[in-house]
Amino acid sequence: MAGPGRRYLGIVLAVAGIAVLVGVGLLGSRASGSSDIPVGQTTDPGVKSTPTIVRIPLGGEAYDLAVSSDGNHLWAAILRKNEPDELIAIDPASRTTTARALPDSDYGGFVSRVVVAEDGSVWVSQPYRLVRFDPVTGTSFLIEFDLDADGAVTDALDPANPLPGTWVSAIATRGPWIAVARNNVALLTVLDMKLVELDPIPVPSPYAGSQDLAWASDRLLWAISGPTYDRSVALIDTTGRITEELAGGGTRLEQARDGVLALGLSNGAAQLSTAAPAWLGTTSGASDESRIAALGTVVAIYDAVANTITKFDGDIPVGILQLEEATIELRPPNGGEPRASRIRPRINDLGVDRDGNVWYLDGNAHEAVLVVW
Amino acid sequence: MIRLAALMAVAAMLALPRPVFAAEHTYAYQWATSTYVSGIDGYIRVSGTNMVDGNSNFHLSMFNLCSSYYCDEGFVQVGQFQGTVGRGTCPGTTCVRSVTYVHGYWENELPCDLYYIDDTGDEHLDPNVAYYISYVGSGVSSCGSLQAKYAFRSDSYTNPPDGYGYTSSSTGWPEAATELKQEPGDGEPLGQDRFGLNDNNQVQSGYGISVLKSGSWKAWNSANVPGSESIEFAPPYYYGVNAFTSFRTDDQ
Repeated sequence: MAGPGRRYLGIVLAVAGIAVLVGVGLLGSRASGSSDIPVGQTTDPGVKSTPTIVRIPLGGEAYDLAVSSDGNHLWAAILRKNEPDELIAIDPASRTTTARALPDSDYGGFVSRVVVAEDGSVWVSQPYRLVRFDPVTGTSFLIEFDLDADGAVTDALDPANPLPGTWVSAIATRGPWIAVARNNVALLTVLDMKLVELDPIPVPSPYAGSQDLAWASDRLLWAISGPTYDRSVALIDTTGRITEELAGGGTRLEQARDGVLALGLSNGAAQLSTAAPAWLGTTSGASDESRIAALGTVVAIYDAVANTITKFDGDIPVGILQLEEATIELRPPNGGEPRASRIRPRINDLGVDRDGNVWYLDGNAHEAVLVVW
Repeated sequence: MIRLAALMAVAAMLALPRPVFAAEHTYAYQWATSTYVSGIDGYIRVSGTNMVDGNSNFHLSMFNLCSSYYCDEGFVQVGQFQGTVGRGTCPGTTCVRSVTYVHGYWENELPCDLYYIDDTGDEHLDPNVAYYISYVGSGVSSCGSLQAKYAFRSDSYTNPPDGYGYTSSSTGWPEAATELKQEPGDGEPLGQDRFGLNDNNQVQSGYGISVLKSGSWKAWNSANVPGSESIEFAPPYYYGVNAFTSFRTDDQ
């Protein structure tokens, strides 16, 4: 891992001290809560199925929810095409939000990721940029990535490539380092907390554009394969050698107290180790749109097939939220006869706060939603 | 006597509850159901209007791939919209709304009849924007099975996706269309929408509608996409500009 810094591209972003409270109705006030009506009941009497729901407007759509290691701060980025981008801090205690300016990306944010490092800094990926925000000083630094990247696959920018481009696809921090995966690039960029580039980590081409990353140790990372390859999860060392590979799935990775959790493997969710995966005992979250979050002993899984959010204490389910589903009449795009379809909310990500409560991002409502069982 | 009977009949009809008119959809589009492709791209420009939204109207122009002739095995769709789409409180968990400005969006109906929509944000002013749908591989969809996965993208071709959708097949028949939903009597203004034209509404290489066929992008014309035809349920009307690679639709 260790290596001399090669380039320093950090730029001070003049956003120090610019804090904007989001939402006129939220200025310094507790968000008004409203009870939702769960539409399903679990058959297990030990699993609570009627949580209290509190909805907090974010002012835009966020796709990734990051939580500090102590669970005291939640962070989400709102990227917009024709409006300013913002980093939103959510205080789970007061249930209020604070917005900080981000450099504009002119992009809607679907692949943007947010992580919180051990030093408390918040890292946000924009398509061709990585921003480090310091919540203490309110300052931001950034590094720009060229479209033409070292380690890019040969057709990385070919229009016939199903996904041409070299945007940042995943980020993961460990101690003083952050690893950066880029689409169509068979290298992981490694930076220190000052945005100095260290020696990159080569990855096999199926892991170019990894969809998620998580450090297993100082010399090992778990990576999910790129978006155009069959899904698999590999443990890769810093020389680029695969030491373990789990085929048949993998949608998201989550750094948890006792290691890395993987979602969407063939047998469901698993606690990964450098030896063998230990299954969590749930088949939840097998689909690509499912999400996972963990803090302490609490694990939350959004299962996009069942349309549920389940809270686990360890591997025991303790709460379940059945999300709504409505019938909508759709007329086929060619003007044929209308037919009934089922419309569901889009759940973009999950988080667990210090009290073990579960939060999720509602993609259409542009809200952070607190679920308390 | 006959006139009196007729008047009585009319009076009886007026006494009945008025029928509830369903919202109407009208279309102008081009499609090719005999040529299946794995992607479609080109520029779309929806004209902004003074939207009457009291009845959840919408106006959109889009590119679409259907996995089957009857489009009953899922579709993936991307484009621009103005108005209200979805159910329930809007904007809200299952509904998107943009009355003032033209926004980008994608839609996906899955083979198991699940439906998702995402408002991808403001495209003003005078939005002439490139949109892409392309097959990227397979993935486990919210139906719970392995299905064909498509990426929705916009603006630069090296931009990351705005979302993913799933259908039953790695190819679909291409369609480019304007769709209008309105209540009878609303007189929803439509304006003039443009497909495959540059910012000055001119034919120009790189702006036209293309299809991803046999691993490369090809202009949508009769040679590359046999069986193409245009259809309208006027209004909106369809006006070809350059074979099938460029056209416009409007209410005139």
